[in-house]
Amino acid sequence: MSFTSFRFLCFFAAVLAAYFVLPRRARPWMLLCASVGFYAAAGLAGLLWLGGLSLAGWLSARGIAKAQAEGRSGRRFLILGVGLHLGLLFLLKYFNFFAGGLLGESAPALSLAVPAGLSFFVFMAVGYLTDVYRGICPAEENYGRYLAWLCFFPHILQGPIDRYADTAPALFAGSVFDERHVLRGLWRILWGFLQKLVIADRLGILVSGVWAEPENFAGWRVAAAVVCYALQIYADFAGYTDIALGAAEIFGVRLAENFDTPYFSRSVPEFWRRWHMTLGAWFKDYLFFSLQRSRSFRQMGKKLKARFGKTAAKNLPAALALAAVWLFTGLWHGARLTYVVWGVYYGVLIIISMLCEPLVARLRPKKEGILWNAFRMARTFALVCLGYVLFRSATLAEAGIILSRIFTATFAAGKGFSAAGIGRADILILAPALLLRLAVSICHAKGIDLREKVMERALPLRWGIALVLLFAVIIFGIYGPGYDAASFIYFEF
Amino acid sequence: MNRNEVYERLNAVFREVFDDENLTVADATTAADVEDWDSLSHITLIAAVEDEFDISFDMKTVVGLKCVGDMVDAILQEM
Amino acid sequence: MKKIRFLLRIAAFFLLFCLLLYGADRLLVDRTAAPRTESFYAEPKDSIDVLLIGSSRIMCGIYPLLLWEREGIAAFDCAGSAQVIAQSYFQLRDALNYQSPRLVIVDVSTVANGNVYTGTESFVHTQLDHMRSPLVRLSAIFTLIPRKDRVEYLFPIVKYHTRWSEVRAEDFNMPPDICRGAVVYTGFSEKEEVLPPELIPRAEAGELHDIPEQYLRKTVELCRKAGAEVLFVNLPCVRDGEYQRAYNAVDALAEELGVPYINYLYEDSLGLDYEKEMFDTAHLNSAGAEKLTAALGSYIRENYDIPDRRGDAAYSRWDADLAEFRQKYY
Repeated sequence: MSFTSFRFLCFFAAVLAAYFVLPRRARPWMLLCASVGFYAAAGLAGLLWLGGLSLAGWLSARGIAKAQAEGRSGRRFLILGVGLHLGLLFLLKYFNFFAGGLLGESAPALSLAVPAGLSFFVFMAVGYLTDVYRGICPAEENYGRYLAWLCFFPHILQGPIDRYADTAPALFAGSVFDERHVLRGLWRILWGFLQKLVIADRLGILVSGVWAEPENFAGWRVAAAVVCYALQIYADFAGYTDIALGAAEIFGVRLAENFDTPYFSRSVPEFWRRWHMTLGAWFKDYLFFSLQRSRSFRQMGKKLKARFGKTAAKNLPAALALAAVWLFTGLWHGARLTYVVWGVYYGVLIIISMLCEPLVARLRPKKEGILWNAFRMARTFALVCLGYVLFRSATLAEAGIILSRIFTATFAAGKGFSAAGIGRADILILAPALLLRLAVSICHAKGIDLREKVMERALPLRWGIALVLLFAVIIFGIYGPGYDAASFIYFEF
Repeated sequence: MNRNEVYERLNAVFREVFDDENLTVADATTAADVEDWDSLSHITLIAAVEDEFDISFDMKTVVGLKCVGDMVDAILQEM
Repeated sequence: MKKIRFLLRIAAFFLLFCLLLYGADRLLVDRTAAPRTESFYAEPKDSIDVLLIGSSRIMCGIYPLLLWEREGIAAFDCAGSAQVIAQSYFQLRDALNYQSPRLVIVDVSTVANGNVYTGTESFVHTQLDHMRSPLVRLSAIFTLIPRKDRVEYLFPIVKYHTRWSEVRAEDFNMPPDICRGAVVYTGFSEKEEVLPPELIPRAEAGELHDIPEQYLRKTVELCRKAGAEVLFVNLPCVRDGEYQRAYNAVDALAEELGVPYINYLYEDSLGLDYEKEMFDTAHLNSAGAEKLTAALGSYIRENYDIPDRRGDAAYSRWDADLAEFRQKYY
C-alpha cells in the first residue's frame, strides 16, 4: 500500500483511532496486527516469506543467545541466520540478474515475485542477528515482539533501516497519549505528503519525459532534467521518510533519520554521511567493520605494514573493504547493471578521496570562506548528479546517450520542456515549493526545530499554515484520474 | 597500570595514527574533537590501541565507546 | 481532560477542513453543464407537471418550451448525455425530491447499450457531481460505480483539482439556461450523413439485458409510488438490426407493466424526414424536434390529465423564456 494513497489514509486513521482507544498494554499488539494487515495488502505470498524469514531470524537469534550462555560463540547460528536471509534475498531478487549475466540467453530464470520491502527487512534482520552475536542487544524471547518490530508498517516498505535495540523498547512500551507527539507526527506526515505529491511526482513527469527521448532535447535541458531528478529523488525519498517517521512518532516510536540536508555536503564522503544515513550506517557497521576487524584483514594489515609501511597498511585493507561496501551498496538498490556501476562510481570516488586525504589537507586553505564552501557544495552536487545519470537510466547505453547529449549537444535544437509534459502552471507550483523546501533545509541545517516553532504560534496561525499545506497537497498534488476538458462538452457525443 | 600511564601510551598511539605530534587526548575527548577521526581512522585507531596494549576488544565494547575516557576504561578492564 | 480537549480541537479543525474542502470542490468542479443542471433546481417546487428522463436523444428531441407553446404543458428535461437506464433511475429519484410530476416520459434507447450501470465516464461525473440530493448521490455512487473508482465521485476534487489553473470568473457567471433541459442542434452534423433506417419488423425483438430491465422496472415502480404516470418512448434514430431488436424488446416489458410505449421508429404518422430533420444518426435537429414535440404534445393532451398552465401568473417566466427561445433558434 503506497503511503500517498487514499487507502493508506483511511488505514492510518483507523489505526490511530484504535490505538488511542485501546488500553496501553494492548497497543503494541494492535500495531502488530495493523502492520501484518498492511503488509498483507501487498499480497499473501509476500506475507508468507515475511513470516518464514521472521521465524528463522527469531530462532537463529535465540540459538546464538543460548550458545553464548553456554560459553560458545554461537557463530554457527549467526551464519545460519544471516545465510538464510541473504541467500533468500539473492535468490528472489538477484538470481535472474546474475544467471542472465553469466549464462546469457540460456540462463534459467526464476519467476518468483519479490516480496515488498525485502531488501529492507532482510538488512534489518541481519543487523539484529549481528547485534545479538556481538552482545549489543539481547535476543528477543517473544516471537510476536520480534515480528512486531520487523514488520512495523512505517519502516517495512522503504526503511529507515532500524536497529532493534534502538526502536523495539519504545514500540513495546506502548506510548502514553502525548498531544505533542501526535501533532509533531502529523505535521511531519503533512510535510512528507507535500514533498512527495507536489514536488517529487511533478518533477518526475519532466524527468520521465526527457529520459524517454533525450535525443529530442538540447543538452542543457537534459542537464536540467538530471538536476530535477536529483531534486525529485530527494523529495520522494525524504518525503516518504518523513511520513514514516511522523507516523512512528505518533505511536511514540523514534525511528532513525535518513537525511541530514545532504545537498549541502561539501564532499562526496560527507554526502554519504548525510544521504540515506541508515543504509550507510548499516554497511559501515555490518560490512565495513566486520571486514576490517576480521582476522584475515588484520593479518593483511600487519603484512602490509611490514613490507610497505604504515600508510599502505592503513589504506589497502580499507580500500578493499570500501570496494566491497560500494559494490554491494550499488547492487542493493536493484538487480541492474547501472546500479552496480553507480556503486562502483562512488566507490572509486570515495577511495580516491580517502587516498588523497593527506594531500588535500595540505592544500586546503586555512580559512573556509563562503565562496570556497559554495564551490565545494556545487562540486559535490555536480558529482552526485553525474551519479544520478547512471542511477536513473535502465541501461548503460541509455546513460551514455544522456551524457553525450549533455556534453556534445549542449545547445542543439530540440523540443521545449512542455514536450516532456510540464507546463507553465507546473513551474508556478514548483518554484515556490522548491524554495520552501530549500528554506526548510536551511532551517534544519541551522538546527532550528521548525515544528516547535510552528506549534508555538497562536491557534489561527497554526491552523492557517496546516490548511494551506493541506490544500496545497490536495489541489497541486499529482494524483487522481486526471481531467480532460474536451470530454465534458456534451455536444461532442 | 594507572590511568596516567595508559594516557602516556595512548597519546603516542593517537599521535601516530593521526599524524599529529601535538595531539593530546583526555577523558572527555570525542571523535568530534580530533580532526580526521572518522569511521575509517576509528578502525585503524582501535587496531593500533589493541596492538599497543596487547588486548582485544569485543564488538560490543567497540560500538559502545563514546569518548576517550570510555576507551581508557575499556583498556584497563581488558588488561 | 486533556485528551478530550485535544480531540475536540481535532474535530473542530476537521470540520473547518471539510467546509473548505467542499468550497474548493465547488470551485473546481467542471461547470460545462452547470447552467443546464442549475436551471432544474431553480424551478419552483412542484411546478413541473411532466419530467423527461433518459439520454441525449430526448434532450435533443423534445423541447419543453415548445410543449408549453402548443399545449401549455410545464415540462422539464432531466436527461443526461450517454445516460443509461440505471443512471436515469437515480436522476429521477433526485428530481422527485424537488418536483411532483404527473407524468414521467422515459427514453428507453439505452437498453441497447448493454448490461451496464453507467455510460461515458465524464458524463457520469456531470450527472453525479451536480446532483443535489446528498443521499441519492451517495446511493448512486455505491450502486453504479465500481469500488475502485468511487473515491473520485465521493470527492470530485480528486478528479478536478488539476483544473486550478483553468478556473475563470466567467465560469460562475454563465448566462442561465432557459431551454428547460433541452439541447438544440440546428442544421446537420459534419461527421455523418443520415439516411432513413432500414427497419426490421417490430415483432422481431431481442431480450433485455438484466440491468436495464431491472432499472426500468424500478423506474416504473418509483413513478407509481410518487403518483405519476409513465410513458416509454424511443426517439427516431438510424441504427442497425441489433439495436432495433433491443428497442423492440421493450414492448414485452411495457405490456407486462401496463406502460404505454411509443417507438417512433414505427410511427409513420410522424412523417419524419430523416435526411433533413436529423442532426446525426442519433439526434434530431431543431426542425425534427419541433415536429416530434408537436406530435408528442398532442398525444399527451389527449391521453393524460396534464393541466394547461398558460395564463397562470406563477408561470409567467415561461412566456418570456419562450419568446427568447424562439428568437434564438427559429
